[in-house]
Amino acid sequence: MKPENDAFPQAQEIAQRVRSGEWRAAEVVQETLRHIHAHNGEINAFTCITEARALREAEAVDQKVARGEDPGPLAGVPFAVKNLFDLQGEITLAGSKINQTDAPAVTDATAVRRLTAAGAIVVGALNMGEYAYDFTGENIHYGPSRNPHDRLRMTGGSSGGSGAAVAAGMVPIALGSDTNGSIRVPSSLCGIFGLKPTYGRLSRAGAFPFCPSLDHVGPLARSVTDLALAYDAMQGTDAADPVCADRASEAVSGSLADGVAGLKIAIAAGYFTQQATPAAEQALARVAAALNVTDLVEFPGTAQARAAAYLITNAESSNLHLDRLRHHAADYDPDVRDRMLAGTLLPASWNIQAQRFRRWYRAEVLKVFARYDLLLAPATPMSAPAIGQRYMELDGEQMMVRPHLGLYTQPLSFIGLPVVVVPVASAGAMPIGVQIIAAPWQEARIFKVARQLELHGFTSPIPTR
Amino acid sequence: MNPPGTDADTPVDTYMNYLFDSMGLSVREEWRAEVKHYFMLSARMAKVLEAHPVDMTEDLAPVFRP
Repeated sequence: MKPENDAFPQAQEIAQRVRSGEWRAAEVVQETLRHIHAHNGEINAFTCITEARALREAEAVDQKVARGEDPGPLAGVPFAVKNLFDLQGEITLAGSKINQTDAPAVTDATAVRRLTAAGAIVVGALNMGEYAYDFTGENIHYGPSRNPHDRLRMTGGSSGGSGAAVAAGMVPIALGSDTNGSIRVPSSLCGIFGLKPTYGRLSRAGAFPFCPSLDHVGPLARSVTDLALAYDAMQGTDAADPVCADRASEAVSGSLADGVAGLKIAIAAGYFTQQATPAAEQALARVAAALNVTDLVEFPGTAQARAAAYLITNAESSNLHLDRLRHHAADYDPDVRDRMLAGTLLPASWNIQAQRFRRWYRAEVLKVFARYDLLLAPATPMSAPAIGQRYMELDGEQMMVRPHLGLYTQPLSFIGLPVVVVPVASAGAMPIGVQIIAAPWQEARIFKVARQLELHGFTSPIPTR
Repeated sequence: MNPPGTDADTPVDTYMNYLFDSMGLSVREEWRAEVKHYFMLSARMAKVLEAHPVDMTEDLAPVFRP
């Protein structure tokens, strides 16, 4: 099997060829496993490879094709999941040492089950920042995931293994979770596409929680088409997740080629252009130029929104972990433990004020979306920092990397807006991403613009080995 | 058990001692500087947040939906 257009096979091509019988799913999976085994030592993306399951499921897909049955829209497409998603028979680590003694998951997470039902084949679980409290992709227990474009640099986190595995071509699709930016930051730093859908759009059932009032799940991929295929396969209501909205699926794959005519787009100014490095500014300018976007729009309270998201995350996650902190504090990654212990100290008033502000900010941002369909903003203030780097300088100020790398993503997930990160690559430089943001439930608009940008050359760069 | 307070403790240290004891959390001496650092970061975030007054009569839904 040799892919047509890219050094790495893409999900769309794999599914087409497996469905037609030209490629066997078993061969695709064997080739994928070979690639993972050959490169995981350098990238450290996988913490578990589900080889036996993958080969068994691939064989089942091939048998369906042989019988003339529909093997699903993602037939034979390998994918991997951040290790906070339940995989039947595997322990859900959530990046921790503490969970190592948990019982194996009894069933797959809903997102995994839906991709599998569409014919996709899970090949393993991916490294992540401990309990998802991370923007770096570093992990003291399992080692840092490494950026395929420069292995001395961070992947971003907390879905660091997801970003690395997709950018390195190990799998065409990976799943991640995003509470404050954990899909979008690694997508930006690894130079791939990543979707954080509207809060409540995709079921989180079977995903280890971090901060339930802010948690989202979503896909990462090397192309917009693959991102859309994965997203479409995972949509739909799910009673197992009380936050999952009671909405019918709104597939986007069929409308990717519709173009962007008539869409009103603006650049998010003010907060979103402060503290950006030249790399982030130039990436945003290139995307805006490609779309002929010149309008700037500023909405108030974004610094407060980011602060409120920070406080809710700190309070809610430390509450979730209170019992573990009582009994296993020494077994945490110190960076995570210390933040969570600090979170136990937060006065209730701060958390309540943050929730109150959430409603106010949402109303303000929706006023902007009455005038514009989409907004553009940088995804991260800089490209990938070095592994181990504790501080970064933004606008002359020294800031800690771990809590601040997501300062442009955090205000948007705070109010549940859908966002796709589009990669911007430059010769000789690390990639960096730009966020395309829509009003709640308007993912289809974002996908059209992302596809348009992909056609303009905003594609996922191939790492040099 | 949390280390006993000393005369050199700041009000923040005292607050931390009280709360950790009341919640049954044992926090080692060598962790405390970073915990305090992160708590002060949250305090700065709270100050940023409170700089923007909002309508205090606003209803707060227990489950947020965008």
